[in-house]
This record gives sequence, structure tokens and C-alpha cells, in this order.
Amino acid sequence: MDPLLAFGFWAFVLTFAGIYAVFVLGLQIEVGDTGLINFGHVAFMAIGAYTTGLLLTNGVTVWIAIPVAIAAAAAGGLLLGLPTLRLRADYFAIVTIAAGEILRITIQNEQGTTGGTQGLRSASGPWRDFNRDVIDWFDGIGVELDRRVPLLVIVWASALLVGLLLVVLGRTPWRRVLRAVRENEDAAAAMGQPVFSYKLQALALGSAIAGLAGVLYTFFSTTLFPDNFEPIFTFVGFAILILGGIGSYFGVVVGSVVIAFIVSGTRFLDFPLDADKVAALRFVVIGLIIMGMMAFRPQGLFGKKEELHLDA
Amino acid sequence: MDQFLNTTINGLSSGSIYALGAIGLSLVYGILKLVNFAHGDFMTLGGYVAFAVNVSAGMPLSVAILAAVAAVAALGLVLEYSVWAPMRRKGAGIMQLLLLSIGLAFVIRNMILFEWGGDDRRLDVDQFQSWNLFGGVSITAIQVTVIATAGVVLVAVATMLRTTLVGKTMRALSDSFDLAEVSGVNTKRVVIYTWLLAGSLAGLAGVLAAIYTTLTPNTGWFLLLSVFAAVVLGGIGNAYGALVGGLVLGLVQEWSTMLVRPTYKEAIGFLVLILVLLVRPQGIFGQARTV
Repeated sequence: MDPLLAFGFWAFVLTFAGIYAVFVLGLQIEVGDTGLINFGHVAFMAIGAYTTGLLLTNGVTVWIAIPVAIAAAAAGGLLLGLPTLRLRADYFAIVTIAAGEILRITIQNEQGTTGGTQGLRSASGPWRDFNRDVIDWFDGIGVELDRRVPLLVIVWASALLVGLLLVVLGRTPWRRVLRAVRENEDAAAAMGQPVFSYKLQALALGSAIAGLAGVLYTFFSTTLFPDNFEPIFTFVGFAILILGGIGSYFGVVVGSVVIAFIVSGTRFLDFPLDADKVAALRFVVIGLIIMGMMAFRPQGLFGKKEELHLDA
Repeated sequence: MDQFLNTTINGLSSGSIYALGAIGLSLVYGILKLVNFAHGDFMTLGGYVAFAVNVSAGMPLSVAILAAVAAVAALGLVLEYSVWAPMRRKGAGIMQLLLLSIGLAFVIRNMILFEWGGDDRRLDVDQFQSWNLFGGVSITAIQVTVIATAGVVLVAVATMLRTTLVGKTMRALSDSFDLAEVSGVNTKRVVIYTWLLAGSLAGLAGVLAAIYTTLTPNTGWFLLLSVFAAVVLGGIGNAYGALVGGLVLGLVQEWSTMLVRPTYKEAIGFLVLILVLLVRPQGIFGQARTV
């Protein structure tokens, strides 16, 4: 197989990139628009994924499972935000990562419900049958589809919809207040804006989007493991955000594709090294991207410097 | 009672490792306003330098500890000159430095993975020797090594911070950088000493973690959040607080195993972290003020 021509491989990489794009769009609302540095973002994706998985394995239909999963992630955001949003930015960052880890350790320990480290099997429920039906239908009209195409389309359609939603929200007074909160919290409060409530709404919306990413991830990987939701996932999300540009939705898309290419797309390149060493080098590159961006272009490729606020 | 004493011994072992990591993390946070997410990977590097000297080169453990301490202290200095000082001159904000340290953490951790691979490593220490103290209470040779080494170093560091001029200026800088600077403190020199101290202690903590548990490229990263909890518990920037915070956190985590499943003990530590930040963000020893 010539991997450069292997459509399935690139469909896999791009699906992965699309899930990351959705995930980081949620992060963008929090970090870029509101100035909340949330290092526990992956926890809300975990809530979305495990809610989907647990509902589907218990016979609930997809059309109920998806909205419930997204709502559960949003509720998780509210629950975390209520006590913690008054903290200073650096404290908030540490608290969110700790909360995410508590959730992950709990999922790992409650084996009876979640499958623990053995994984939650068949978490995508009837997705595979649906996928096969779609491919058969296209086969019926004479179009031969790769089995990865339906999810690829769904994932990027979701990213597009979320992006459009955010662009539309961007034209409303709502996002203007968010940006005011980011620029100067005290001034926004002095103008009579309920700053805390706006931060909470941003966190809930960002978490809901992460929940959607969790739903898509469940379809993508079928079996869920607690290890999939380690803090590193959030930090790779931050690498995407930083590369694309804090505050830029288009930057998220570019960043997702570039980072997904580095993480899994470079597998076709034949390095004269052990697989372990190549894996290590990939993350060295991601680390260097974060460092280089923060040192020389903290606003990212597509961000605006005057919109960047990285002070606590 | 036996169970209480056994968990206390366990808690002192892990707690002294947290304490060693936390002192440096807290001073760097307080003095340089740097929330250093690479601190855990400094610890890991210490562990692997000790592994290289102790196992690969077959030298005694004491030599390995000295080499690890020297190597990580040197890394701290190199990074100060090459990364942190230039960034501070640019006027980088606290979150910018924090995100940069996450990138640095990726780089260090994966260079370690590149060099040494992902397998579990052990240092050349007696894994099985243990003594029955009395009744059902026992202590392993590993625990004695960890507690004794950490104990001596922690007392020395606490004395240094309390009695020497360098120690006092470090604490003064952590309290208020500007005030110390206008009082005529040579802040540049103190910053160098801070990195030397933070690096040395992180290196030692990494070696002890490698002795006490296993060594993988993720060892320090997994310890980091607990070390953060110790820092927060003691009050950010407060070196004594970090020392005590580390021990308290280790004890709380181990004592919790008498009530909940042992696999939850890390989560208990993180819960302590969150509760302290919510209820008493200045830490258990700090005085109430704007933080």
C-alpha cells in the first residue's frame, strides 16, 4: 500500500483533526473570547463520551443520547464554574486540571459502570450498523465509499456548524460582553454587566461543545478508555489554539489539521528510527511549536495581537 | 493502629518527595511569577540521570544522586539564561510563561522518552529488605532511604532559608519582588540561587521517586499535580509552607486509604488542592490578603 494514496489513512487523520477542531472551538470560546484558561477541557469531552457510551450500551436511541450527552457536559461546566470562576487565572487553570483528573480517576475506578481500564466496549452502539447502511445505500446507487467517509463528513459538518454558531454569536451583544470581560473585567462590571454570569455561560457553552467532541470521539473509537482523556489531550488542544491563534476560529481549523498531521499523519513517513523514538520526536515538535509561538508570536498565526490577554 | 502507623510511614515517604518538589516550584512561582509546568519533568530527568549513573554506569547510588542533583540544577540555570530571563525582558505575562512551560515540559519529557524509551526502570536498590518494627508495623529499606535522605535535606534547606542571607532574601523576594529590589537586594543573584535550589531539589525528588516507585518518562508529570497541591496547601511562594504542605498531602493521601480505595488516593490529593484554593487560597499558613 502506498500510504500517500491510501484514502482510508487520510480519512482517519482528517477525522481525528475534525474532532480536535470541534474540541478546540469550545476552548476558543473560553480562552480566546472570555480569557478563561481551562486546562480541564478534556473532562467535558469525557462526560460527553461516557454519557453517550453508557446511554447507547443501555439501549437508548442515538437521538436522545446525543443531546443528553451535550447537556451533561454543559451541566458539568456549570458545576465546575460555580465555585471556581472567582479564582485568579493561574489558580483556575490548576483547579480545572485537578477536577479533570478527579473525574478520570473516578471513571478508571468505577469499573462496574464504566468498564474502567478494560474500556467501555461498543460505546458507539448502533453507529456501526448505521454506518454500514449508509455505505450500502451509496453502493446501491453505484458509489463505492470508504467505510470511514460517513464519520469524516459528520465530524467536519459538526465543526462547520459549531464554527457558524460561534460566528453568528460573534455578531451578537453577548460575545461583545464576553470580550469586554476578557479585556477588562472591572470595567465590564462597572458598566453593570454581570461578569460572573457571562463567564459561567461561556464555560457552559465551551463545555457543551467539548461534549459534542466527546460524542464524535465515541463514534470514532467505539471503545472508550479513561486513558484517552488524560490532560495531555487538553494540552494538545492548547497547542492547536496557540498555533492557530487565540481568538481566531479559522486558526482553530488550520491548527487542528497541522497538529493532527504531526501527531498521526506522519506515520507514513519512513524514519530510520524505532516507532517509540518517532512518537517521542512528534511531541518534541509540538512542544517546540508551543514554546516558539509563546516566545515569538503569542497571538498565533491568525490571532490579533491587540486581542491577546495572557496576564492573570 | 498498626494500619494507621503503616499508612503514616507510607505518607511520610511520598510526602517527603512532594515536599522536595514543592519547595522549588513554590519559590519559582513566588519569585519569578512562573507557574512551571516543566517542574515535574525536571524531577523525571533527575531520576534518569541517576539511572544512567547508577545502573548503566554501575556507580554507587550516592554518586548517582549527586550527578542527578548537579544535572538538574544546571538545566535550571541554562533555561533561566536561555528562556526565562529573555521572556521576562520582553514583558511576558504570567499565562504566557505558563503556556511556554507546558511546551518545555513536552520537550523535556519526550527527549527523555527518545533517549531512554518508555519501559519501567529501577535503580540499583534492595527492593525486598524490610524490617518489622513492632506488631504489624513494618518499614522497607526503600522507605528508610527516602525518608532519611529527604529528612536531612529538608532540615538543611529549612535552616538555610531561615538563617542565611541568601535564604532570607529569597523569602523576601517571594514576598514582594519590587520591595526587595528597592531595598537593595541583588535580585539577579537571588534568581540564580533560586534556580539552583529548585533544580537541585527537583533532581533529588526525582531520584527518590525513582527509588520509591518506578521510573518512566511520565513519573514526574504524574507527580506534578500532587506537588502543585502541596504548593497551594502551603501558600504559593511560601517555601516552609510547601515543605509542610508536601508532608501533609502525603499523609492525607495515605491515611485516606483507610477509608476509600487506595486507587483513589491521588484524587483525594486533588480534592484537597481544590478545596484549599476555594476556601483558603492563601494556604494553610498564609495570611489573608489579596492573592
